[in-house]
Amino acid sequence: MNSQEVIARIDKIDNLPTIPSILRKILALLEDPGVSLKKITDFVSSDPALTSRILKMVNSPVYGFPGRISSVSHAMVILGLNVVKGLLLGVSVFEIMKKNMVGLWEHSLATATFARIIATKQELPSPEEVSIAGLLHDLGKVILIIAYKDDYLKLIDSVQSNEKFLFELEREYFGITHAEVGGIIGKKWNFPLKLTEPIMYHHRPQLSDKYIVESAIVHISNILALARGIGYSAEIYVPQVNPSAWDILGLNYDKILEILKETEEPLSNLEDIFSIDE
Amino acid sequence: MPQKISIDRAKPGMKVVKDVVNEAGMVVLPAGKELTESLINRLSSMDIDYIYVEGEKQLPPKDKVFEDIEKKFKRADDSYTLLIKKAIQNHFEELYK
Repeated sequence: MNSQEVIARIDKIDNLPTIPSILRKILALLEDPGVSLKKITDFVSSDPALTSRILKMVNSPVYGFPGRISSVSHAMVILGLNVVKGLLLGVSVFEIMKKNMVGLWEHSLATATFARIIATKQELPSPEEVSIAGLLHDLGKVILIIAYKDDYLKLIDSVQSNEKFLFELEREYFGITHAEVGGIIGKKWNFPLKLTEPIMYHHRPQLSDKYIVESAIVHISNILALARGIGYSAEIYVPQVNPSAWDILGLNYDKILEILKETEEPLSNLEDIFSIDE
Repeated sequence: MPQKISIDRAKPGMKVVKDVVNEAGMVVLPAGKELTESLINRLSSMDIDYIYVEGEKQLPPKDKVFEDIEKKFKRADDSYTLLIKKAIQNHFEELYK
């Protein structure tokens, strides 16, 4: 396949029969560039299952807010439009992850948690936004599942026998990687660059243009989630750390150890939201 | 390591390790208290969903964890990725102490 063909197909993803109806509805909402906070609040509030999922995520150890956030409008005020839009997408692709790639949701949550903790250490103004980029960094895998289910699941299976990285096999087969697919689809759905850049460049953070620090954080968070062994992302090997990302974040051995230590408690309590629908 | 559990999994004798707060943010049960049947009932009636109790995380066998780390880092040959490997090994050593 060539990448143009793949891009053309994912561009029409809203019309594919394999897309769940709730996701279709959410996309229609997100694709409107002028969508207001109120419109999103109303939409979420009208769906009790969606409300409960959003609130469970917001109150989970991924975010680590001390108090309890009990309404969608309260979440909006605290987290802002971008984060809630991201969460909405995150909880709606969750089911596709659960059904097709066991462990991808857990890997995404772990990456989001690492991203929040590193962003806080970097004193970024909105660690929650970086965390959302972490949550959605593998969005491209979900998109490839929706668009090319059989081919993609076969490709994932072959990671083991080929002893390669999934993104290498994707490049060979689709001419494009899940990171790029995620970035492209993020743009299509009007996600801000602050989210799309870290998604697009989580394997090549040095290519990031405006959000270099955020991309570096998601890059390292993905590696740490894999190394710590939470969830499953179809990779069998930990990808190589990009030296420029390491330098931008001023990392060293002690800092990595500190990040691992600090993330251990939220990670050990993540199981509560894995059973999100129970 | 504190464990977050839902209130219906709470049992008398468990020790609360974080202040339990209600929706208004008021402490209804301070850290350090041991749970009793009546305290659990009271917390449930106050719409408290989760509490943090003392608990040991169940870890997989240590040998297997360290074997997995070796496998996962098989392709790592640069100093940064190897530092992460070293940190992960050290981190797990601490967890198993």
